[in-house]
Amino acid sequence: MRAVRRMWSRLRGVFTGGRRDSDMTAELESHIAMMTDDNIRQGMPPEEARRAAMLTFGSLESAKESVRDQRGLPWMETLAQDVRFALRMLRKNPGFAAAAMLTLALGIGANSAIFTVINAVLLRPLPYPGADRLVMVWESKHVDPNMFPDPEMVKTFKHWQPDNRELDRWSRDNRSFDALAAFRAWTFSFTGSGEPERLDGALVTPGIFAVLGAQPALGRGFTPQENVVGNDRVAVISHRLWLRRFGGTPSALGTAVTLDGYPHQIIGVLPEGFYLHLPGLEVAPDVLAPTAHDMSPRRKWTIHPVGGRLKPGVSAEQAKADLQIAMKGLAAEQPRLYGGSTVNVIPMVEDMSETVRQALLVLAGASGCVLLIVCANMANLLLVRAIARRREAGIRAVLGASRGRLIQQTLAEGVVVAVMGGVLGLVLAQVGLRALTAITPEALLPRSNEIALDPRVFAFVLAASALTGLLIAAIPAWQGSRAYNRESLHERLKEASRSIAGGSARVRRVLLVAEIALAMVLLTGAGLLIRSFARLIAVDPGFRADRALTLGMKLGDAQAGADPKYAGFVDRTLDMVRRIPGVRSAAATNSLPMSWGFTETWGLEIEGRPADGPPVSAYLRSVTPGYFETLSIPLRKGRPFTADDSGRQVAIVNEAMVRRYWPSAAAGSAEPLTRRVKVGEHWREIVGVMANIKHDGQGAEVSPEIYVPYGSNPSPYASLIVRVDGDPMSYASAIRTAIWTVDRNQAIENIQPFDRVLSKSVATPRFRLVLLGLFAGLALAVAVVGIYGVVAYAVSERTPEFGVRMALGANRASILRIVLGEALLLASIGIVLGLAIARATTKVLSAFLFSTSATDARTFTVVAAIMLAVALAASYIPARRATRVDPLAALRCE
Amino acid sequence: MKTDVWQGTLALMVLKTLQSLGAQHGYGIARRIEQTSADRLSINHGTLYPVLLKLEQEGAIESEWGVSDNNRKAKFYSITRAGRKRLAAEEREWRETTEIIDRFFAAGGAS
Repeated sequence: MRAVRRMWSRLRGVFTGGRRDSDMTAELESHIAMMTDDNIRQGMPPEEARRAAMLTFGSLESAKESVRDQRGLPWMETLAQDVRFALRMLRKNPGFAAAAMLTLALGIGANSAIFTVINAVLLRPLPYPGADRLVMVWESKHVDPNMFPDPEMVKTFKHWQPDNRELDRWSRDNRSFDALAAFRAWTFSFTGSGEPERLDGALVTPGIFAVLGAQPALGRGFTPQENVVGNDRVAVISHRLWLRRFGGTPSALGTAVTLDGYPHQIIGVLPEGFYLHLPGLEVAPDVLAPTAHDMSPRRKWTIHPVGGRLKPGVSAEQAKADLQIAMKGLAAEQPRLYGGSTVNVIPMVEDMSETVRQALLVLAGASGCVLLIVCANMANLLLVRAIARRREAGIRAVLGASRGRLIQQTLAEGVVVAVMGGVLGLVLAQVGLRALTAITPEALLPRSNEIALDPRVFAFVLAASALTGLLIAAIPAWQGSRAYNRESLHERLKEASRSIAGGSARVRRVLLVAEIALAMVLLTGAGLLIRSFARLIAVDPGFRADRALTLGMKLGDAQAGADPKYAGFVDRTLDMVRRIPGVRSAAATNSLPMSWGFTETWGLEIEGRPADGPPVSAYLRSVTPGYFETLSIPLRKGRPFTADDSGRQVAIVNEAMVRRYWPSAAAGSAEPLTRRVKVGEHWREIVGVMANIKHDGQGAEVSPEIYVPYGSNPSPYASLIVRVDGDPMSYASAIRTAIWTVDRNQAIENIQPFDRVLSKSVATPRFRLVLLGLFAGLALAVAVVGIYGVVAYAVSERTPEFGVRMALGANRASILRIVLGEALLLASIGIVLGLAIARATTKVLSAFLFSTSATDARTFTVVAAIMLAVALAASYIPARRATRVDPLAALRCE
Repeated sequence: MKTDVWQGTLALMVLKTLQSLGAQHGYGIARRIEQTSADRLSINHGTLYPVLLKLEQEGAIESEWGVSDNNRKAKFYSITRAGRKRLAAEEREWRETTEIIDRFFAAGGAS
């Protein structure tokens, strides 16, 4: 207690030092005066009396000093003094200050930007009460690894979406969860008044509110009875929609809205700003409806991702063991469906960030590299300044400043510069992040709308800045205090002016080499991504995407009633669209290339192939006549679909399918035409073989595909592809009108040029490339400045030497050779070192590279050449200056 | 031969002085300590001030500017309640310690 009190008082003393000082002086003066008075009274002459008093008192200054030391916190006072001194030095050198702060701001800014993202995506809990208890529950299918050699595929089976029977059983038989709920993103078509609207929302089971720990602000959530087909025409709407459509009146409850063609009763209103942060479902939903919405009366089951809230104190492992028991029960009842299945319970944050974790860690590594380069550069700058101030340091050392004090002062300077740079960096990072999240593909970055500053980010930036400051000042501090290695004052003074310069030249070269090596690593990484990306976009997708327009429609019950089902509507729409002047051709499909991941269809049968052999699978796609022509997909054999095929059981397969299931079919033969494939309940005759197209992305493998006439396999999802003359988007409104002449309530989404769909499919690799490229560019720029700085300083240091050389007859070319030769030697060492490090570390990029080796020799060579050229260019300017030395002037300044 | 004051005991002497004399300035305290020891203790008056500051920081004494007997402006120190408590505790401790040491020496002398 006494110690605390004293500490507090001393802390106060730090700030009131000045006033207290004069107070103390007065007190000590009065002490001596009183003693002098007494001495006079005892008969001493006044002069003598004062001298005696002073003697008794001892050293006045020493008393003052020890009082001062005790009053405040001496180290803190000297620190404050050092900080003030550092600030003064920066003010006196605005050029240096600006350069240093900007470089540091870039380095620290890059790191704080990446940390802000990592904080939001990987570290921060989801914004729900008790978020650490939220988990995802997946079914883990039993798979025979021999049947699926592809590890990606196996991973899919480990994250299988549970169906509603499993969810019901788990909900009933577990002791580990407060609640379990299924959810899926859903876009509702909202009709009634005005233009039909698409509303973002979700299909959920009643437990969703308990899982999230949220409640509707008005009305109620769903009851279990409402999640039964037939009773499911209810909806909870957003606060926003409530205000917009119902003027925010409570009487909105109970009224009906038409969603996906049916009237739904509004039973609740969500709280203002309600947001779903769930894996695969990050949306501010306008409408929530029961999952039964998605089920037909005939097919009473469906699969959805399932999340749960654990009971307090229950671990994911315990919950998993608990659900495993329920799963065994189900497997015993339905071995065909659930035999061998287990359960996977994963904390929700982990589940959401799984796909981006590695990319983020790579970026963190890259930004860390940038900061290290910046540090090396700054250390060099400070070192040069330390040399410029070596006399001052020497004099201070001789006058009795302790080694610790001198080191502390240098470190304080480093930290002051770094913290100022860090603050600027934080600003840069936030501006940069806003730009970044704007161009980030949504699927790439989960929780991107949660990216924001919080105390943890501030703490990180502060810590990073302080550490950076210590790092950049450590070498100058050590070099600057070398004078203390000498015992005598005279030696110290000599040492101060001599060896700092000599020893630090070596240190500066080492720093430069390290800088170049690190920049090389980043450049190599970026180079690999560039090469991989170039290869990726050079892949021929197998279809033409230029001068075409696409749009999506979800067909409702009105269209389901058309004859034939859905296809009647699609055919009539296509007819109307084809009539628009300038439209070359038009077609529809249920799965637009590069945009929608359909699951594989299993359990196909192939005529003449034993039924108990390996299972047959393919991707099933419904297309209208004209599809292959519109996309310019060549047919290898047979014929395309015609209007007459609409309801017929025919099929066109791709070459990949032929290669897998009819491996002996020769190019010229008619095989497998007229062969039959059983899809679902129908045998279909193969009428054509089409060329492979890269349906799932330019980097993806081509899977076996079966195309069937839209009318024979109708789907509520229809994407139109319209090939036109000229700018595709100029046809948008005409096409929209054409669709609305067929059904004025049909909602239309994602009208866009087809080639944009294509370019979106490579958005993720492009994004990674942009970011790493940015860091590499930053690294290169900083390294250029570093090379320039070191060479320029070396030249200025050796000016007298060059003067002598020129006086002795050396010509300009030989001087140029000396300077450039030395710079290139350093650069070469850095490059070789960098290549070695890159070879060992670019492995982390393997997962992001498309048909490019992580140690691609050409990339390594090109990057090395670029670095060498840049080093040469950066050192040429100071080298030229060396050749212009006037021998006389140079010698005189010695 | 005058004895130098032991480190640490000076604070105790200051507190005791202030307790018996009431408010007193630094010079007065120094004089009083010298007088009480019948001039057998010599203190360097300058060393008194860090001790006064420490005691003040710990809340054992407080200070106020005032005027001395012979009309000089001086800072007067007085003991606080916390200071009195501390003095009492330390006095007791001191007595116990010296008593033990006395007995020890007495016993040692007998053998």
